[in-house]
Amino acid sequence: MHYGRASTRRAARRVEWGALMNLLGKGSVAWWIKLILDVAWFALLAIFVLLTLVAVVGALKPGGTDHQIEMGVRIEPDETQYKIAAPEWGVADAKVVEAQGKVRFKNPGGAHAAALMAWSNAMLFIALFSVYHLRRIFKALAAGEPFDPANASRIRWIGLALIATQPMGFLMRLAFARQVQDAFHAEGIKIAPAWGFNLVVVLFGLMLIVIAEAFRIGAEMKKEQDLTI
Amino acid sequence: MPIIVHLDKLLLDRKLTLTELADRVGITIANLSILKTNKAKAVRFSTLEALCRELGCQPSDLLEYVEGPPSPDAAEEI
Repeated sequence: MHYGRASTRRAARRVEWGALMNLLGKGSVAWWIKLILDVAWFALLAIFVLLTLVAVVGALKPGGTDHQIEMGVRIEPDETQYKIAAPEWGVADAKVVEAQGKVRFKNPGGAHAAALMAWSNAMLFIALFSVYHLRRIFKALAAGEPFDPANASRIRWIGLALIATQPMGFLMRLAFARQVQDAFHAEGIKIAPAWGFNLVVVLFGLMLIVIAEAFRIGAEMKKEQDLTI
Repeated sequence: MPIIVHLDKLLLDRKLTLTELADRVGITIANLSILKTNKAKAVRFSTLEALCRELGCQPSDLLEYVEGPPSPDAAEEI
């Protein structure tokens, strides 16, 4: 088939790509992603309920529980306690300037552990919230309705949720910084909460909010188009 | 809505049903019904042409402007 003009050739390429991969509608890529999100949603919901119960029991039970808690930390080793060298590279003395990791410990019960678990659950709740909206978006896409008016709002909420995780995390770590530093002791290393304010996540959230606005305009145009005879 | 579509009157005069007109014009009954009940936001010239051809009328016979409050989503269109 011969396509003369450039615009016709571009249109032909779009049609061929759409024929190669069924992206929207029943049985499409969107449909399969929706299925995966359904599974993820129920799995996250079960984990959330379980962790909430564990947190409540852990806070109330004297002596805590056997459940393991993990906490993101910065590790500042004492420079006098170690020596790092790479003789083959001609490096005689290297220093660890920033190390991040997690400490894991048995839930001791009490207010501190409860606060840590509440924080983890808050993050998990945000993940649940985002997956919920993502499911609804892909349900509309699997139905072949990308410009469902509610999709704009759903994308915006996901963007806001992503942005919210960063100041929430920062404030939480700020509130606990002194207590973690005072509470956790180790020979030769200092343990402090990991700061981790990720600007990339905030930027991604903002991008989603802008994309949501594009979807809102698209939904309006579709509504106009539907009522054009 | 300020623009009134006199499809009912014309169908009665021509003794045509909505279904028959929809078949002749080549649009769905649902869309024709939207037009008839003044819920349409816009009409393509091609549709107007087909309606006038099948009903044997002028656009002014089909569409009438009546003074009143503007449509809720009135937009500038050419």
